[in-house]
Amino acid sequence: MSCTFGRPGDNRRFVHDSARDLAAARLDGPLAPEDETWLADHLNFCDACAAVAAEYDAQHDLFADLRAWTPEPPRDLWARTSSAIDAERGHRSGAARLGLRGRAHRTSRRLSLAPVVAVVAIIAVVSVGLLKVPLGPGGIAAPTPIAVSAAADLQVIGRDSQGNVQILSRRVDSVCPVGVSVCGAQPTFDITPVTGVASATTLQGAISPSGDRMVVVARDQGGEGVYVVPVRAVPAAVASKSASPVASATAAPASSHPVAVASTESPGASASSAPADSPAAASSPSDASSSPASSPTASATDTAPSSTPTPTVVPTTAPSPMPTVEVTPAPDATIKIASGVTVVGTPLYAPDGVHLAFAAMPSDGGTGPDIYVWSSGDKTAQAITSDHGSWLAAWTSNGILASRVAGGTPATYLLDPSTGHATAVGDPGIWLPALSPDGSSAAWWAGTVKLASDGVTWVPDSGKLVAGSWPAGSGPTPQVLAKGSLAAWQVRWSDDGTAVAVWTVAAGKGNSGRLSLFRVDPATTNIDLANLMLDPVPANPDFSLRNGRLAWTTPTQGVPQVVEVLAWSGKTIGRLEVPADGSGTVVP
Amino acid sequence: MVFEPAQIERRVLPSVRPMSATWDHDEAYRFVEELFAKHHNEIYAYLLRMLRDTELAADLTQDAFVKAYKAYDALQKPENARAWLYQIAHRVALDDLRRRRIVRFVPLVGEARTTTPSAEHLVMEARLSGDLQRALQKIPERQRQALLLAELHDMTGLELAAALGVSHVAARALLTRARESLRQALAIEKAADVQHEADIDAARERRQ
Repeated sequence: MSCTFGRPGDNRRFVHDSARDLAAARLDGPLAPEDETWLADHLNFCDACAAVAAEYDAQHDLFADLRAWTPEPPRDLWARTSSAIDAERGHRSGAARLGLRGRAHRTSRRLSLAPVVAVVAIIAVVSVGLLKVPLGPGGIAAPTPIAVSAAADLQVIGRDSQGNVQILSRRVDSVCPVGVSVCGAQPTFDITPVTGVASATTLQGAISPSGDRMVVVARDQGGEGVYVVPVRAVPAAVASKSASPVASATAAPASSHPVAVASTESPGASASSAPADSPAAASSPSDASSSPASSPTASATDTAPSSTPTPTVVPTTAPSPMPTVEVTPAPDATIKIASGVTVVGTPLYAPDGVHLAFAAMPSDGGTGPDIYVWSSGDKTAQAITSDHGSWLAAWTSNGILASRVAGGTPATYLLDPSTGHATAVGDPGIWLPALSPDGSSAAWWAGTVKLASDGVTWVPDSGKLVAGSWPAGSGPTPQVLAKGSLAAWQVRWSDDGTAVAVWTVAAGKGNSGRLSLFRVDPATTNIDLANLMLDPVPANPDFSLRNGRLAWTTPTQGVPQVVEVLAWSGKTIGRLEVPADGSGTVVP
Repeated sequence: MVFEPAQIERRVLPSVRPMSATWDHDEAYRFVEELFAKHHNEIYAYLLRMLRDTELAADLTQDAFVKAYKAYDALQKPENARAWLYQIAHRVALDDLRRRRIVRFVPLVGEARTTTPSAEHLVMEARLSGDLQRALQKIPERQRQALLLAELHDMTGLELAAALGVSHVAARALLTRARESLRQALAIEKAADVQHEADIDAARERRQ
């Protein structure tokens, strides 16, 4: 059938216009039933309108390719945006109220990243959000830095654009008043190239108590390597940024040669026993030495000749008496202490800085984790458990706290780091306690756990995250830090025990959790849950809490990570933002 | 204070945000931070499609979110945040172009503002037929905006109206006109293609 259009003004024209309007409108939403029926009837007898309707329908297909195309914005877009917002805040700083958590102020719209092609190329702009900000005349924040004492160095482990591993360090010693972008607090950077660590997709680190060594877990498709890397202290007054790894090494005031010297990896992930003369082997328990062959014990590491004229460092293999090992591997050497493993949780240095423990399972995931211990001077880490179900919780003055699941119930044990002998601690139902520095308090999961989807690891089930006196049950009723369906958590105490940071992630949220910081009353060890030093903020699980500062990275969904630092001195609290072009990891 | 993930979520992006004369900068910041995480990709894509300049699109995406922060109090209903963002982005782009004395958008078509086409630009060009590019260039800017929001950003109904800053009825009427304008423009392009092919055939025959 066909139809013809009438003259303008003719109501037949109106009918066809209405049909065309409806044919277009139905692409963007359902029509009213009566309109739908009327249109269908009209198109049945009007070929012209049916053709127009078909053309409308075809428009949708024309956009299909473009609809599927999602351009990727610049990786630093959030860093730029947040800085611009802070600039806007700065304009309003005259009215800045106390309690405002300021952020970086950057005037340049297009951020020029550091010439160092670092994955974590830090362009630090110091800004502060102050709870108690010293104010200048007229209530305007004075444009002078605020000194923050006792703040420990901040370390980030990351990669440069070539994939080389490097450590970025920063001493947090001063911050700017709120809304002030330039206050004399010069960003201080120190970039240390790390050779001898295999390329990795992800990196994880833990700094030794003395700050001169770091254990680095380099994760790749083929498993993980665990390394111990020397760390150069950050000079307090350094205000220069390394232009290149080479420049960094040569300009280092404390060293005229590259800081880290490559060491060759042992072939494969072969299981090996500790040297007979090593402390671990000498005191290794029978169960440790009887670990299955598939158990990924550490591989020995040789030291490669250095290509530089600097002395080649060879890790010592001399026997070292337990418990104190005085002789360490050469100061400038990176050594590989384990390979072919998947590290579970975070490696932990003992308070003495000599011993290091981590939980690891075979990279093939065939069994659950065991506890490994490495002592300074050893070539490799040694497993001290063989139950394939031990999770590292904490170091104490008496040994290692580890959690296991027996009969579906979690429990915590004290392990002798030399023998692996286990003694139950506290009541059943305590999972992974995180101890305060003096060991008098802890935070732990109180409840049940369940097997994760991999069939070998455990995750929280029902219960709550609590903090209280340690050993559990020795004091008042524990305080509840979080409850509900948690997939994971991390709790860390400051060195002086006056602050505790809590990171939690709800089930199904991946690693995108929330981080909070609380004050701890040193007299009562009570946590002030009502007045947070830091309200919950989005954060990745790797964060660092040391005396005077908390550092974390923010999940950014494709946007470069931002390392944020909350630093305080007395009642003055400042916040430092360090945008990073990449995916570096804050070292706890 | 005991906190639970659900409570944390509410603190970051409250579903019902109390209005006040003096707004909370921290709350505004968190709100915009959350908006950015959710929508920056599509806002950037929207501006890139409109402007065809990656750097300018990034800059104006940044500006849009800064303006969202500054205008935090103006958002009456958080559930309209996405459409509100698009409205801001469009206005930011218009303001910028006017400031640069560029009278009209060159969405999807025409010469890019950068002298060297970016990779994104080339990809975008490859995904558009020449007819569609030219046809889009010929329809009014306002209609084009409505069409792009509907076709490429899945906006319909009230959300589209909010993004366009008009009533629901007006938005639907605008979109209907846009589809008709595009249909006619495409018909002209196809006719021109046919004529072009005919011209080529005729020239070939003459050479033979």
